[in-house]
Amino acid sequence: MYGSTGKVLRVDLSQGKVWDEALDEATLRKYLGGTGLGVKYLFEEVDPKIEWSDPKNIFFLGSGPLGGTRIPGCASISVVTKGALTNGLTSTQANGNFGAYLKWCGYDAIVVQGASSTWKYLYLHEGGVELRDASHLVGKDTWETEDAIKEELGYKERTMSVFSIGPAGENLVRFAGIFGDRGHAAAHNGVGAVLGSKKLKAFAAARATNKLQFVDPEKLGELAKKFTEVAKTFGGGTVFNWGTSRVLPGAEAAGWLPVKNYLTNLFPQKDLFDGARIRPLFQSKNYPCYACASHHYELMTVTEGPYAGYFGKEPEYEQWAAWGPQIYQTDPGAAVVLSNTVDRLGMDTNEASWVVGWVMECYEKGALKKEDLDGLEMTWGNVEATLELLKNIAYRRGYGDTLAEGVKRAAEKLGGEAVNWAIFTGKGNSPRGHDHRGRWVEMLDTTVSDTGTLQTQMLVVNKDLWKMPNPMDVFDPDQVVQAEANSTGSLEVSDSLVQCWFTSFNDTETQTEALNAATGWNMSVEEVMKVGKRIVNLMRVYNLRAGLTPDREKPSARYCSQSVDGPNKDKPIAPHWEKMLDKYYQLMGWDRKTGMPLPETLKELGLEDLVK
Amino acid sequence: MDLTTRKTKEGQAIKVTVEVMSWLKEDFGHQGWDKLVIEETVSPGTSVMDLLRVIADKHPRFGQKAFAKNQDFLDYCAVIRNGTFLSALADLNTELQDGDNIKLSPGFYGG
Repeated sequence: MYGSTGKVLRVDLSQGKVWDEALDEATLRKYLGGTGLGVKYLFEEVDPKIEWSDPKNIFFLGSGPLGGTRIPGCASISVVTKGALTNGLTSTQANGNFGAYLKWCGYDAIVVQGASSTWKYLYLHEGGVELRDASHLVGKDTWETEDAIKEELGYKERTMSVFSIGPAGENLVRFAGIFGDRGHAAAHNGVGAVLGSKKLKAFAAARATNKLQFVDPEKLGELAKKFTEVAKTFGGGTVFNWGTSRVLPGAEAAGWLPVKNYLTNLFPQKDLFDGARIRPLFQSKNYPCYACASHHYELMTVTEGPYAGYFGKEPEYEQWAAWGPQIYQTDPGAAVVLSNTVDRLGMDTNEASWVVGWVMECYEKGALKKEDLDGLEMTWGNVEATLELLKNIAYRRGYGDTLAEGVKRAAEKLGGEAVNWAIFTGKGNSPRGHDHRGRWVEMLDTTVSDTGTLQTQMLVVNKDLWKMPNPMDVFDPDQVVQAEANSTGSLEVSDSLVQCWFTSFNDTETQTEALNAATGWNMSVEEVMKVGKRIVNLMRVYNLRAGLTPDREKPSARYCSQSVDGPNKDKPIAPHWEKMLDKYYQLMGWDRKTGMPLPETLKELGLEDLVK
Repeated sequence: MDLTTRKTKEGQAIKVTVEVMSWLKEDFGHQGWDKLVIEETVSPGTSVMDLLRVIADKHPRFGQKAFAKNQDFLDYCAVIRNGTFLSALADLNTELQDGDNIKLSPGFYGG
């Protein structure tokens, strides 16, 4: 089959078995791959009522039909499982090389079920698949695990891709992720905890010979160049040239930088975190993903301050935001250390920073005292105390055990006024690293999402195609709802093709051309868009059955509070919330009370079987 | 468009400052991370959008990107006047006042 290996690798850890399962073209046309395929497996095989840690839960890790091509951003992976924060469906992606290597090893995806009694890791190579003992890797962080596996199997840096869990995943921290290729992360909704519950430490894929076949390789080459040319200009070409390293100062100016757990929107030291300063200062070097020409991903060495000499990956914008302004500390070198520490321990930076910021606010206001925190003085910006707290969380030591449940559960356990200081959604998932009081569409998206993180992404190249308001007032409730509802599915297309958003910008038209050049399916843009919407609706039905009902689609009190300063202080979203949801449900074709997609919505998307 | 030094019967020319943020500074030929603040003198009655077009004329790279065909200006460039985010195009018709501070920040989300 063109564009596909025609196989999924099945792994049953309870029985210690691996086997091949055939993939047919009809299934791939309906779901594309990646997220779509993972959602199909979860829907068909995992009872929505079980707990995320039940061995019957599956862990899906997949590439897509463009995986292994030279289209930039297509060596990414998508992970689908029942996640630990929401106990609902999760779709979370990581960039790097694994997606290409996986397909070159002969598989479109891996589906792991069951749970092992001893620690294992999965090794894929040209000659086959092995479940290997991982007992010697237990306790190692994600970078150490990557190094150790490559060393014991005899692979050099880029000849193998390893994604693993760290101590946090081993200890079932509800916001543990999987990390690989030097800090790339599929981090959301506790997918690392799911892997930990199965005692699977890592996936390792060798860079095997590329035997994939595509219908029109020449066309794929042209489209690869086209994607790169768009990336050079979209948003002023900033991602191509700078990654996300220059986002922070602008975010502060526009009022969507998270500062001091949303207590303020002002961060006068913002320019210290500007990539134009940091990259030359910290000797940043490009470390690109497979087939990507951009300067998005870099490694760096801290050269000033108390952490001079520390080497790690350059934090993404959300990591700078998390470990600078969100905890109100102003040393970029310390932010590099904190960011990499969280990655190495194997936790989601977003949730970790909401937890730490909340603890600091509780400490300042006396709701948590030094003796409650195992002797840590959690004052704003205290880097050393934060490093200790993060370790306590990853190893579930002391109060870290409570915090390992995530900020929603920890705040509800502490109770009182402290619940109102925590940033979370009613479903329990984490917002991304922004102050969404200045980005309403993302607050709406994060709160209604069924992925455990973002469900859509309003920045699409083809605005007219997705019927986006253009121009758009980002504080107009009607336009925000239209943007969210109308563009629903665009991200699922990217995540099912498994193309990095920073190279695709959800350019559905060019993606469709690439899909057809890879597979020969000759799908129309409309058909591809329908796949995206089909996946969203399937996720919705699954999560409703899992108990994630519409009454939980509320931002926490702090998350939707009114900013006290900054450029958006006069723009509270709360008064508009219920009407926005009403309109959103109407546009999505969902029943407002039950949350279920209406029969006509399901029929339109080829999901007639779900109509009851 | 020349609005920069003209005085009108209604009043004196007014002075405003424009602070350019983050990578938008590259459009103005400014490579560093330090502050870029431009001072402009315009006629009374000049709107924020008028000012932006004046700036675009003076800095063609910015003008070509921000006012490109099929480009939603606010997607490219967020405008903050005296600490308040102007989120709708209509807001850009607001008349400038003497001493106004305008911040231009990338409209592009990310990360």
